[in-house]
Amino acid sequence: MVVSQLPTEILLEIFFLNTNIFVDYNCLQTTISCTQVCSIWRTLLLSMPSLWAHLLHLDKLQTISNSARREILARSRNDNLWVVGVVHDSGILGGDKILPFFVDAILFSNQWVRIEHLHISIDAPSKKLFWPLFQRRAPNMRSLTFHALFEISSDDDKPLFLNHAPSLRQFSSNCIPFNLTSCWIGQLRQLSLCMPFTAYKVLLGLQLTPLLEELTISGLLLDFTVLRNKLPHVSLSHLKILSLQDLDIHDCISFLEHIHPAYGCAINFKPDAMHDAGQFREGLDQILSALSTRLSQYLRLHHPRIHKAEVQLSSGTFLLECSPRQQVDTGKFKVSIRPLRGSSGPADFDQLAVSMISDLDWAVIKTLHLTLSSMSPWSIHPYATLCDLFSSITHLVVGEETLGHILNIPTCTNLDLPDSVPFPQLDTLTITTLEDEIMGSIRPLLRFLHFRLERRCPIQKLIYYASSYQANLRGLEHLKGLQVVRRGLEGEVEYNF
Amino acid sequence: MVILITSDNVKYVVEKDVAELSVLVKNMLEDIGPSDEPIPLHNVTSTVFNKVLEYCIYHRNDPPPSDDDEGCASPLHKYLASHICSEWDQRFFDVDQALLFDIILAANYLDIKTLLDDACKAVAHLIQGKSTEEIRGIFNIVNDFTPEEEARVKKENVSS
Repeated sequence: MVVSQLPTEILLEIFFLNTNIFVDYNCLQTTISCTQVCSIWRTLLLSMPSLWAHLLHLDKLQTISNSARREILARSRNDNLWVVGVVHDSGILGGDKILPFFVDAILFSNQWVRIEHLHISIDAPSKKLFWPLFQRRAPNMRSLTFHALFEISSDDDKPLFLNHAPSLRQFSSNCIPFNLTSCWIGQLRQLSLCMPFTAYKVLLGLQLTPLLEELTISGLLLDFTVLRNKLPHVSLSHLKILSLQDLDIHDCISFLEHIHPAYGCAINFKPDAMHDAGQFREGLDQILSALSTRLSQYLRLHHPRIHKAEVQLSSGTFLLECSPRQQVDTGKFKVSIRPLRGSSGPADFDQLAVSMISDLDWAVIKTLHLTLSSMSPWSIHPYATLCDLFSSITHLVVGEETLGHILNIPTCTNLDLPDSVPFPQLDTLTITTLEDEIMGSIRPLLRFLHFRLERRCPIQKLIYYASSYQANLRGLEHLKGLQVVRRGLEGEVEYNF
Repeated sequence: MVILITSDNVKYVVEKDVAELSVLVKNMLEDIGPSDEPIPLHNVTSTVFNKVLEYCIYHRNDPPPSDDDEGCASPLHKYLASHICSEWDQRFFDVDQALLFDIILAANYLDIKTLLDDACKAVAHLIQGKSTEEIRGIFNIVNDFTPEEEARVKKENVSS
């Protein structure tokens, strides 16, 4: 059996799988290479307009002649176009011929109505150049991501797409003005709002988007004219991922209180850092319990698929990330709270942050990436709580500094508890970074391994990275039965003691 | 249980839910109704069917593939939704080319969409990022262009 015996439709399907410019930067070259293999393949490929219509990656098109670009466009005949690229002042990635091609041949020609997916980042010379483009009906547009360093301005009041984009399912732009009550909004599945709307307008607009599955809100206008208890509530029963990024913490609270997503919705929460520590503390107080409830629901719904958590805790910074095996339909639950640069946040921040997750059941988590740093007198208790919470993990991924902090928690230091050990089921330890060795003291990694051995919970497997190859790991040879894996550019080296 | 007989007369007794991952078998079972009659699989040998069966048993509890891509607004979403292949799948398709093509033909004949899709992805992966000469080498394809034709088509190349 050879490839030429495959039915034509299957061969075409194989070619199609290699024409997704959204995931494969080189798919244009792969397809062109296929056309040059033999005359049968060439005839087959040239007979498929839809295949060529999916290959308009502007960064790649700039590397071929203008006539070749037009040839590719011609081969797509009347099929719906996929267009992706980054456009700079002088063209794309420094080229000087692609901008006219992009603007004249694709956007401002009759091709516009053929565009199905348009994902462009642009820094073009004229702010007004693009607005007429969007004042046209977009009957086949299915997804639009259009980001620029400037806001596109209009001289008239014609609406975006002339209010006609019946196929649009995904919209993301930080520069195209539009009305949140436009009729095309109602069919959207993914919406990214990074325009200066107020929270009130956003919530009103979202009432018209019942099918939304993913929503990102960032960069809103502050609005003090509407009291929080007067804001409208929105039920989005299909919403699976809600991202609140770079917003004032009080706006985040408003959205969490007023948007009612599907049960178990993943939240991506990353508020703006605040100048006023008192206000920040007050905001955290209010939002952490709301986030805790949402996280609890997320874990309950997705627990068979959640296997990994990442926690970072240091003075004033708290990061939490729960990752499912399949992230497409579930999404990660992420909380990222950082202080303003130069500020350490509220004194009891660590305690407050850990309280958000301390009532939840973390038994499903088998792999924990943990970062603890800048230990202060207030930190020991939250660090100990964290270690207790993740008592079911079998794999711990840490830097050596974190390991040092773990060794300082009461479970490890209390000699009256000779059988107690953090992470009792732990069998694999991955060290991401090793500390410089201090003469005359035993490094935390060795102390941790010996501590586990003494408490009869030895680590079975140690993984470390070659970037820490120079580090002196003398003493490992005394740990009988330990399997050590060194990972580096040259691959993995494994040895046993 | 369902009895299936391959083209080389090897008999398989297969659990019904596994057998019905094949739309062809499912339709035949519906047509003949309750019966112990064996179902012939004319276009599949036992060597290939062993692999097909291995795949169907492993994926028997997977949710059925959805044709409704309304939720997959962008091609990236669609790709991610359909390209999550486990290590098991990668090992499964790590076979010689002839068997891989036979699996494709069997999946096409038996109408097992997920197996057909995954096997096609495995072949597409062989081509991805390769030069014309490399592709010819991988599939043992003879270059039948005249020198003039070849010179003309080479002008289309993209620099990487």
